[in-house]
Amino acid sequence: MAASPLLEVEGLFVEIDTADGVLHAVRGIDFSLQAGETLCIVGESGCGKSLTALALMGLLPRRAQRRARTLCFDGIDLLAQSPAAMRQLRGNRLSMIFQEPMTSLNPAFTVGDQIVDVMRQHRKVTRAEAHDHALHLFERVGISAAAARLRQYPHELSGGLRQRMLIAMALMCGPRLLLADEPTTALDVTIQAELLRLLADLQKEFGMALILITHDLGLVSRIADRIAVMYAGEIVETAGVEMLFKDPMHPYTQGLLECLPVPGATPPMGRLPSIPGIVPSLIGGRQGCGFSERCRYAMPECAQHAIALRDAGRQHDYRCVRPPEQNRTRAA
Amino acid sequence: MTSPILELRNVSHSFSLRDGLFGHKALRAVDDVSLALARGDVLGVVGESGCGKTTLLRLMLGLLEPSAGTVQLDGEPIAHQRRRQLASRIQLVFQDPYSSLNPRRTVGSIVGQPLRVHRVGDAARRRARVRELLDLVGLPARVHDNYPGQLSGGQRQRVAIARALALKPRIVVCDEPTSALDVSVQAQILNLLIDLRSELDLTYIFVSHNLAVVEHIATRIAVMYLGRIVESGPARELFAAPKHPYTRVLLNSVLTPAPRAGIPDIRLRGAPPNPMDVPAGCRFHPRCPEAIAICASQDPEPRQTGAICAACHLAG
Repeated sequence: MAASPLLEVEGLFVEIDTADGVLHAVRGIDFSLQAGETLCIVGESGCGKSLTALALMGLLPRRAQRRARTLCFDGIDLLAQSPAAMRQLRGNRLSMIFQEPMTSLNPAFTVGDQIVDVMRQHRKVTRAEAHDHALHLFERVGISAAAARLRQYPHELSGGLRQRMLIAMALMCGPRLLLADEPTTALDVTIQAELLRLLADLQKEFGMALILITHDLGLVSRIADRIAVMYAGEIVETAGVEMLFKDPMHPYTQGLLECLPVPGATPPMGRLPSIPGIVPSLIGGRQGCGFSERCRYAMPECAQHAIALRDAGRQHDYRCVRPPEQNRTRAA
Repeated sequence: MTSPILELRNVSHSFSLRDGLFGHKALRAVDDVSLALARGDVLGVVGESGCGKTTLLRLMLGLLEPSAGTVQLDGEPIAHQRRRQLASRIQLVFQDPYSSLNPRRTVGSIVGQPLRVHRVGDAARRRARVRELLDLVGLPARVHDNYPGQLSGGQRQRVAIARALALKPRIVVCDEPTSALDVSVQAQILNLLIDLRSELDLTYIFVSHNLAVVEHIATRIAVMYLGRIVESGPARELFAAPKHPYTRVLLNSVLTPAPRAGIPDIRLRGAPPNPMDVPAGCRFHPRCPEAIAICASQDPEPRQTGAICAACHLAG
C-alpha cells in the first residue's frame, strides 16, 4: 500500500425512517479502493449494497440519512461537500450507471442532447465539441451508426444499446471512479458478456477504478480484483478474488458459493445446498451477527455482541467469531 | 417412445402490427416449431429476449391460437379441449411472485381459488386440500391466513407453485421461476421443483435465461432464435457438444465462477436481430461467427445428428 487510496470509506451508516421504525440499511462499513482497481460488492437483495453506492454519490432518497467517519474520494472529503459541489463531482470525476437504463434517461430528449449536456455541465466546451466527443465515445462503446443514434430518443434504442449509451455518458468526462449498480442484470446473457468485456477494456484504457455492485458471483469472479460480501447491512467478508473463491471464510459466503449450480460440476437434478431461513429485518437495533439465525455454526455468543473482523491473512478479513482454522474445514 | 404428452406440429403464430398509417405487418413470433415432450421430461427453453419464448408458452397453454399447425395435449388438439379441462392438465408458474399473487387475498384463498373455480369437492374438502398443498410445497400451515406482502420472495414463489398444483396438472410451465429470487432462495425453489417432479410425476417446461439453472434441471433443451427452434435434443448431449453456433455462443456467455478468467469473447457479430425484419437465408447468419456463403442465401433445414437436431448448414 504505497499510494493513498482513491476512495476511503470508514464507518458508513445509512438509516431510513419508516413507519415501523428506523431501518438500519448500512451498518458501519469500511472499505477502500486504489486507483484503477475493481471492487465488487456482492450480496442479496436488501443487503445494503445499492444504498452504499447511492450514499457515496450523495444520491440517497430523502428519507435516508448518511453518516460516516470518513468518506474521502480523490483527496476530497465527500462529507463536507455542498449539494452544488457534489453536482460538480457527479458525472465528472465520479460517475455511476444504473441497472435499468430506461429509467435513468429522460424520455423527452434525444440521447444526443442528454449526453452533450453532461459534458457542457462540467467542461468549457462548445456544443459541437461535446457532440464530437460523444460520437467518438459512441463508436468506442460499439454503437453502430453513432451519428444517427445521437438523434434518437431513448425509447427507440434496445436495452443493450441504452446501457452502452449510459456507459458512454458516464465516460464523457473521464471519471476516476465509476460505480455500476447491476449494470447487466436486465440484459440477455450474450449482451451481458459483450458489455462486461467492454467495461473491463474501458477501465484499463481510461485508468479508472470501478465499483461493481451485483448479486451474480459468476460475474464477480471474472471481473473483480477485490470482493466485499455484504449481508444485512454489513460487510461480512473482503478478500482478493482468488482467495474468496478458493478459501471463503464466512459461513454466508460459503453458503452462497455452494448454492450455485455449476455446469459440469453439479450433478443434474441433484440437490443444491441452500441457505435456510430468510434475511433478518433491518428495522431497529441488532446485537451480534446478522447471519446467526441462518448459520450452521451459530452459537449462543453469536447473537450477543457485535462481531469483530478477523484477519485471515493476505488482506482477507471476515466477520465471524470462529477462527480461520475452524471455518476453513468446510471451505469449498 | 410412448405417445407424447405434449406435441407441437409445425406451429406458427403471427402478430399483426401496425406499419405506417394504414399498413399492417406480420410479426412471426413463432415460426414452424415442432417438438414433442414425453411424460417426465423437463424441457428447458432458452434464447434471448424477443426470440418467441413467451409466445411459445402461451401457445402451449392454449392462451393463444396458432396461426398454423396444431398443439396436442395427451394426443388431443387443445383447440378441441375446453378451457376448464385444459386448466386441469397444464398450469403455469410466473417469473415474479411479487406481481402474480393478489396482494388482497390470503394465501389460503389464493391457493384455493382454482379449486373453487373448478368446484372441486365441498368447502371442507377444499380446505383440507389447501393445507395439503401448503405442506407439499414446504410452507408452514400458519401462513394460511397471511397475505403475500407478509411473505418473503421464496415463500411467495412456493405459494404460486401450490396454486399451480391445486388441480393436479400433469404439465407445469415455469416461466423464469427463479430469476426474481436471490441465489440462496433460487436453490431452495429448484430443489422443490425437482422433488415435486418425482413425487407427482410432473412434466415441466422450464424457461430461463440462466443456462446454469437450465442445465441443472432440464432433460431436454430447445434453443430458440427469432421464432425458430434452431437446436434441440437431450440436455446432456446438447450441453456437451452443441451443434449450432448460436448455442455455442449462448453457452460461452455463461459466467461460471472462475477467478481471473476474464469475460469470454463470444464473437457475436452485429446487433440483436429485429423480429420485424428477419434476415434471408439462415436467420442467424448476420451475427454468426462461423457463417459461410450459403448461409446468406439458403435457410437451413433442421438436421438430425445423433440425438441432436440442429438447423445449420455446418452441423453434422
